Amino acid sequence: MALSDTFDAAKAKVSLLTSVRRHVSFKGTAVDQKDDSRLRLLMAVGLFAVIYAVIGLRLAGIAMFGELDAGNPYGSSGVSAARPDLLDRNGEVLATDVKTFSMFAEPRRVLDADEVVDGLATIFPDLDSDAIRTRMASDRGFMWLKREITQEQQRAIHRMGLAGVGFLNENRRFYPGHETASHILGHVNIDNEGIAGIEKHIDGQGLADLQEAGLQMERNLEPMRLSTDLRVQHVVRDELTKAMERYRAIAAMGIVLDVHTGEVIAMSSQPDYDPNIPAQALEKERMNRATAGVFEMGSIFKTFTTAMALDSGKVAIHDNFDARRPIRVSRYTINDFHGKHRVLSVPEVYIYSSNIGTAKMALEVGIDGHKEFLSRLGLMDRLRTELPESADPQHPSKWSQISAMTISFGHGISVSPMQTAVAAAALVNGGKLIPPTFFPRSEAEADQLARRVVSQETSDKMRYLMRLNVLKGSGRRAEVQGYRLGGKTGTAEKVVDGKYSSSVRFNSFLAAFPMDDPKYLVLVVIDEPKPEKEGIGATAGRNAAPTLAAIVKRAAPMLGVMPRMESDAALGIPQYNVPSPAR
Amino acid sequence: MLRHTWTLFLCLMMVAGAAVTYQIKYRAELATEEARDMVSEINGLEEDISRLKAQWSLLNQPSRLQALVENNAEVLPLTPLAPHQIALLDNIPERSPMSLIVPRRKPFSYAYESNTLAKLINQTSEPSLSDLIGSEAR
Repeated sequence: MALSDTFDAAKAKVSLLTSVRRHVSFKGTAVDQKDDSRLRLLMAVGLFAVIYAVIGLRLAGIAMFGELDAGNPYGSSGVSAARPDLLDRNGEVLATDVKTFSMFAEPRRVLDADEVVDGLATIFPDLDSDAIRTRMASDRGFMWLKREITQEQQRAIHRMGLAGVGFLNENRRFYPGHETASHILGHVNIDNEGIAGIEKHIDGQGLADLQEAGLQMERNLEPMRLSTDLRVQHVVRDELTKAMERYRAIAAMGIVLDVHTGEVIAMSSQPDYDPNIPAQALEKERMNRATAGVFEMGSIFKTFTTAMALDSGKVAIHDNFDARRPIRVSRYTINDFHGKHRVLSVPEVYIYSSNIGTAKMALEVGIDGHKEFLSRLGLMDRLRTELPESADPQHPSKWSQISAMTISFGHGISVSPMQTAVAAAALVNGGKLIPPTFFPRSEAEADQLARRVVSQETSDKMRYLMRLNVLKGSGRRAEVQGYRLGGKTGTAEKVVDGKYSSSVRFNSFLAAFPMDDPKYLVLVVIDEPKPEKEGIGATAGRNAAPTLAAIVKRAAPMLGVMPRMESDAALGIPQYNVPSPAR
Repeated sequence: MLRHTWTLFLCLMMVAGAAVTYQIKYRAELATEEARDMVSEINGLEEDISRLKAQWSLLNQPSRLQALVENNAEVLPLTPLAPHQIALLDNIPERSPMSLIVPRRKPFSYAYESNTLAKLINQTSEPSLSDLIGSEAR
């Protein structure tokens, strides 16, 4: 239309040009013409100027704003906003936008209802032709024919050129992995706005503002890469679901963390949901327990207590603790689950998971030192990650001696599993506490954020103790040949009707590998497992440990950890020969 | 006479000008049309790419692959990698002329049992092929 304007204007210009020439020549031949011919000439000149001005403005306008309206050949664009693709650390698609088409008819504009119905029937044999024919006969302005058809179907119908049939397209978020990474990714609402997980995080990072301002592009949104490894994520989820089934547990959680960068490689909380069906997320039992749930983590806390005692300098690895008799404080009794009833060395306290010994270690450090150490590890405050889901840890407002003692073995303080994993990673990576992230991060970037919480020496000792526990202690069932795993079991009793129950448990296994140079930290939690067979226990060593071993066995090759068959000493895993006070 | 030539010339110029303008307009319209088609084609292709990527990702899901492997274990016995199966090139000793190579496990010993093979052979319609496998199995 712009160009035809220009054309008309140009024609007008040419004809005017000739007429003016004529006027000029008239003027040249008859000098003594009347004044009104002069006026006529002036009028012509004025007209000229106006036309030129119009042409000039129009050209300027086209040059500046452009008129090349390509339009959308498949109907108008829908309301749903476009979102960037989410990729895993290897570039696999975790979430993407798919265009869906909805087909509608405008009965008033339909020329031949039979033609439309017959045409549609060739593509959709299951469409109710009679119903459509009746509705089409009405005088309505608009009716849906079929929602969410594929692009092929849309194109086929488009090619038929049926009058009165149109399409609306909209972006729908699609998660090809379904449940696999649900609690990391989160999901979107009907308007394609993120309402949970990373989806909500990226909206908070300005995508929503951009969309509101109308600046967002349909395409060309840079895909976002996450730190998650889809394969490892699948392994964790797969093993957790198997464990849930095998031990008839009510929930299970698994976390894999890179100890040097703080990247979350995998995080799963069972039961989970399919983000393609956001309604599932509303069911309470499908919540993300890994970051938004707080639990009494039980004996894996002995790892923190032992590290604290060793790091304070008040306890040496060669020290002994008397675990012959239970500790009685007012009306509480602290006893050992697998009691040895003798004097234990520090490594023995750890591998036999002695409550008495650990409580005594905590007393050596004192209440203030204990509190300070746990807050140094970030276990006293809410852990913020990119995920909007988080929870405040729960701990007593006033620490008595008895609370310090129970907290030393993980009762009386509730923290999130992610928090536990992050704190434990600091104990094996040389002593640096690194805030976790769901986005890729290099080791150098992590070092900028890292805070030293224990000494290198303490970290070495913890590596030794954790490895020893897998070789000789409660974690024997977690040994995976070649991957030098070290870890601690935790069998916590859950509070039922205000009392700790000995049959309802919260089991966990906290491990790192390979212990000669720890790279990954893995935490597995199984909530309320039942014994696999009648007559055997349901302790963490029997369910959480083998589950974790299965995860490591499958995930370690994907993570590029080389299996080594040499002895621990040959590999450089720290060795402290601590004599047992037993003999 | 001169004036007439001049007028004629101007007329011709006018016609020529109109013709050129028309040409330009026509070509511009053609180019616009072409650009519009191309933009819509690019849009369509980009949508195709994104759709195919989603489809690929759906087909390549670890959970799906695992289910496929488990359901077809009889035909293709794939098991997860075991730690002892991973080694560096440096770990492999130089082959000495005196050494005797003893495989740790007989290839196909665990899955391609003779009955599985027989079943596979029965399924194939080509007698020549089954004869070939049969003679080798014997």
